[in-house]
Amino acid sequence: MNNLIQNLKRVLQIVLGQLGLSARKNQTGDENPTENDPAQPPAVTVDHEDVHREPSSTESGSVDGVGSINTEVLCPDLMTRSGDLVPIGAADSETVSLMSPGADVRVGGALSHIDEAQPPVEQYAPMINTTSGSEDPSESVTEERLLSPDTPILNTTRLVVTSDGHANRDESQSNVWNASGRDLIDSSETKDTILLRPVGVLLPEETGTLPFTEQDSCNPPASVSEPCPTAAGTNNEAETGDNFSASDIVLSATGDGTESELANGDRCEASQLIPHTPQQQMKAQPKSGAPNITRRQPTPGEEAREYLQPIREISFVHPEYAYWNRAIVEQVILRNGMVEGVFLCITPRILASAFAEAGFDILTPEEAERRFTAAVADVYLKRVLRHAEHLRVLRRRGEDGIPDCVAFLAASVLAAYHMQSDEEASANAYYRRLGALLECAMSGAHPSGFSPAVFESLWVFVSNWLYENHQQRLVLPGSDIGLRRFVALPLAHVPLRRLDIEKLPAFFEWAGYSPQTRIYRNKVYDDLRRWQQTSNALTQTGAQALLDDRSDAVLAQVIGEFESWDGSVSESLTRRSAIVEIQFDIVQREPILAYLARRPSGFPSVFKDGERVLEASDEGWYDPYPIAPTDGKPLADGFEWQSSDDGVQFILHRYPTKVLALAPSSSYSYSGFQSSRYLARGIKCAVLCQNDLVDDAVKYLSEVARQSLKAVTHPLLPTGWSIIRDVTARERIETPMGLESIDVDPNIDLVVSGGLRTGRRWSWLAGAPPQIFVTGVDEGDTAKINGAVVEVGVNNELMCEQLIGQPGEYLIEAGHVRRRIEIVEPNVSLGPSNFGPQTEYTSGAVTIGLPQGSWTLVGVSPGQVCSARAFLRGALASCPFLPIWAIQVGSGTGAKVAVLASPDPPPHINLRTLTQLDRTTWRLWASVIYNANIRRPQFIGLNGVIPDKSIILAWKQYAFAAKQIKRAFKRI
Amino acid sequence: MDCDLLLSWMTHVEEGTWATFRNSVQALAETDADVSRVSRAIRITLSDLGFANFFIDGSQRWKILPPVIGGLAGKRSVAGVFGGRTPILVESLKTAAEKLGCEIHSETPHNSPVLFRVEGDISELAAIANEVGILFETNLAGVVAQNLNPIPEALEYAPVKPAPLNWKVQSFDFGTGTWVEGLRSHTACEYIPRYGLPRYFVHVRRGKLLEISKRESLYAAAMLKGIELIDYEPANRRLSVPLFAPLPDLYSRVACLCSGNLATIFNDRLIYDDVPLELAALIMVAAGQRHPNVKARIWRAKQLNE
Repeated sequence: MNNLIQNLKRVLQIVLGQLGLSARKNQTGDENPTENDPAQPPAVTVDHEDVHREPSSTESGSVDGVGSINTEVLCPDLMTRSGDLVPIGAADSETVSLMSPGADVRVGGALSHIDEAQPPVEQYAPMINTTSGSEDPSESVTEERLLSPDTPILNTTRLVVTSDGHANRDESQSNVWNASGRDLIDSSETKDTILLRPVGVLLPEETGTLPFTEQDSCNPPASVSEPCPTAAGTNNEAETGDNFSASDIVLSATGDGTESELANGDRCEASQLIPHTPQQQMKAQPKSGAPNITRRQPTPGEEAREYLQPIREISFVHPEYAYWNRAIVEQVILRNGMVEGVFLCITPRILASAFAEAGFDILTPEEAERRFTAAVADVYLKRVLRHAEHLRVLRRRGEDGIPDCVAFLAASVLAAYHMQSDEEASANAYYRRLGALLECAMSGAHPSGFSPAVFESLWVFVSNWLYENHQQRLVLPGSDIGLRRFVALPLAHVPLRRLDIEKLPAFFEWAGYSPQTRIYRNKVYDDLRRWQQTSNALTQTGAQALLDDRSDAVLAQVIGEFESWDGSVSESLTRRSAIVEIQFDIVQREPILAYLARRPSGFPSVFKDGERVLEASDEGWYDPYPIAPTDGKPLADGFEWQSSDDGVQFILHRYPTKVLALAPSSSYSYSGFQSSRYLARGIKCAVLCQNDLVDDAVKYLSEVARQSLKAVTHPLLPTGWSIIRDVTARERIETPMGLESIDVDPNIDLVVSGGLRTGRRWSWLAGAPPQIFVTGVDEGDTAKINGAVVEVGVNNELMCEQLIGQPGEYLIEAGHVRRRIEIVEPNVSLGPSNFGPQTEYTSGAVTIGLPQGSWTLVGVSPGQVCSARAFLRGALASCPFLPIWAIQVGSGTGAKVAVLASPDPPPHINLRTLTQLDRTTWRLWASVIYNANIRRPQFIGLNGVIPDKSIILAWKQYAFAAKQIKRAFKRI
Repeated sequence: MDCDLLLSWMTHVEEGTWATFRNSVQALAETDADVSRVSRAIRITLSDLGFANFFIDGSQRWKILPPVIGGLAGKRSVAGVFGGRTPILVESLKTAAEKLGCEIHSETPHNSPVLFRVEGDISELAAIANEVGILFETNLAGVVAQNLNPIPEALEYAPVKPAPLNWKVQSFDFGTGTWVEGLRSHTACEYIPRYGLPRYFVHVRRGKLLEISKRESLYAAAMLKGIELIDYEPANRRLSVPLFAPLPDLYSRVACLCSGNLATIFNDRLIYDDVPLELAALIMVAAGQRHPNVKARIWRAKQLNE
């Protein structure tokens, strides 16, 4: 067999040599190589990635892998011979017709099954997946059993010819890891609809131009202009995005503990089934609770091993990138999701939320995207491009054990997120978007320094790291999806693009969600489908993704967006709304309730609805607005406040409420409690309740708190409402009808309260740290702060006051929750720019208060003249010089001269050096003094300076100087 | 409560809203403290002594002022340390003063951060400021006074606004020094909404309402009525105002920075000590009153006649 492998390798090399190809030459692209070399025959473009797969298959040591090699090698050859891609559809049908009964056939990603028993046929054709069963006709049953959750183990060895024409084995019996997850998709549709369909109506995916999508969602277009939901593009990876099908995504299936081995040597659990709707996935929940896997074969020659060459720690050189990297790992990847597998769902809102939740700055989505892309671009420019190994330098773990490449991969997802909505470039050019995001020039089809193979290895590296350290797997598309293999990696995580994501707040509102609402996966899925059915709001691509086997990815995105949602909805360009929360605190033993309106980005800094004026506070809120005792009814019935600004209508609203949980919140810096959609377990909360429900609420809360509670009323509370204080939920029991909003949340979370928070980030001033509470645990449990075990004390407070007393950064871990808080030394900004260009202390002018009248102030130098502003009972003069005399002179007789400062004699006068402007002021200066002097002025004392002989003498000198100036001007 | 910690926090965050300020006071105050009262008291201290500006441009925002060593107009060779600061800055200041042989004294009034006094001649004070890297002003009150907004001008440029509908209205009675219900002509009036903050106006001829800040409204109305609320005793260099009519923020700051101390209350009047005549004159004229010299002259004339 080894000889056979060697022979086939030689054949491969010969064929490649004839084609003028080399693995190295093709390694650069999932693009059509002809884009780089127009001279290349088009057939070569089809399978250029297959070249990469040869060593991998060889490494697998599998017998069937040989077949794979041959297929991969021969496919280009075959295609070259056929010389055209067009006959592929025909080839498909021919292939299908040649298939042996009992074999499963994948056409364009869909799996079909041939009933009659035949010897196994290994059918290698490009763009066709042929799953060969065993010789036993009952093998077909085995295939169908795979779809049953009761079938834990895949017993057969199946050969799959994937859409890109190479063969794979799914061998749970062997230790060879197989990347062809798609061959596990339900075969019924293919059998019933594809095989029996005339060739002429083959859908694009059946022709191999598009991977499989669930047939239900794909009806043939009614007209030419109406594309099929699964309408194919081409197989050119560069145009991918829009039509990327979920069948490319191998969502982790749950295994039964059977292990296979990754091509790179990692062991992982074998996939058993691929549920491709949430319902199927629910059915397919593992009984053993075994972790998921995502199978992807890294490109041979670029193993996903850690890059171990010495290189400077990224957190030292690029701290901003390191922050983002950590935030994404902690708050996106390691966050417990409700869907199978780990999705790297990245949108601007999720970025902002992750960064804030991780304890870094609180940013708007726009700011977050800007800073994130700038950080990644900086690393790409200064770390990746400047290093000979380019992207490989990111395939390493930092000192904190986190892969360096996560933020980069997130950026690649963000580039995909913007597809189909970017007006500056066509929707098909993924790499152009990536290049723009990385702020680097394109080199051929890719951004400079970008290697798809290395890019793929980064994904596998992260996936392996995730599995090794957290027993989870990153969802990756199968490696068998053909030319879009590499672009499919980021695309798998954003089936909903920007256009759809931006509509999700409308969905949340439609579904009655509000921030912090507890949502459930199935409910979200059902609600989303119903919303789409009623509103048809999603784009065709998004709607399709929702219905096919990308629905898990869709759900991951929707849930991620929801968790980052601040309650704002842009109903249209001219109408935006946000939610008003309720704040509660006890001040001097009196209950203080206030409306606390959210202020999403773009909302006015001052919200006026005619009756109320809300001013912007910090961190996305308006200042609290007191709730009056008369507010009982609006609080119960809900309300809507409206304000207009620049033609945009802004609405703040509350839904009708009968009972309201009030829990400590970390989302803002105010003390007390904030309205919540549940009661956090283990920490003190409160419940505001309408009087007609109060008995039921007290009874229920007493049960969950395991103590007798009482409701109290107070004149300051809204009429008709009572409050139940000091509710510490100890257990979760079924909530009575009407009290669902005070359900107990058993989840672990960290809540901070008090202290002096320093603005827009999770940082507190040294000397005034916050109290930290852990919900969902019991007293005596422990959490970690910077690795040190800390006990949870009374009221679930983390006993860490000493530990976080000093300035520094502290990582708090409780369960799966990781939060970082920073204790900072106060800092003073000394630069004048921090206080504006003109501060209180840089005026330089001198202001003098004078008695009523018309006053002119003069300084020591000719030209220093200033008129005072006369008011009803006095006058004020603001002079840019130090005034010596204040002179009041009118048209009649008499004048007043007040001395304001000790007068120096006037300087020597040289009229020749005067400019025209100087002459005007000199003339004025001289005239004022001269005119006062000739009127024999009365000298008065002002501001404590009493006129005496010396002052009168000085005045005479000034009068003389004025006279000289006047004479000189006359001569001129 | 630890007002220095509060000042450090304000220095660090530089600006914020009244709600965040109040929340921070609450975080530091005693459990049973009247947070509203304490917040107000601290706000007055911080504003009057030039640590921070509050209610900037009629908003609910505050902003810390730059740290400055400011010479006291009423005390020669003595300067105060005002504006934002941190413990590290204070240490630097002490070190620099010690290095230059200047003395630093401190006192801690109630609801106030520690007030530091540096004694030395102008060159020494300037050298300390230079060493620490902060501003130095020989006459801080005089410099601040340049920015006074004269009441006559404030009234002249005040927007004419319609009376808010369905708001409760009160007018100021200068005779009793209290707010009384109903709208009275030619005086300050306060419109109180059911929700939110009240608005202040001055009722002028033809029933027009000029919107103006609360403290300014009293002085504007007093000016129109010819009532002199500010009194100045040149001999004692003491400026005083009725308790019911505290000076507008910046006026009050000018008066306080003359001595570096807060106003004291005596006989239902707020007393500002060590206010030089020129600054008192400026404050009084800017507030729409007569110059103290004129006032004194008239008073002397009356005395002579009697």
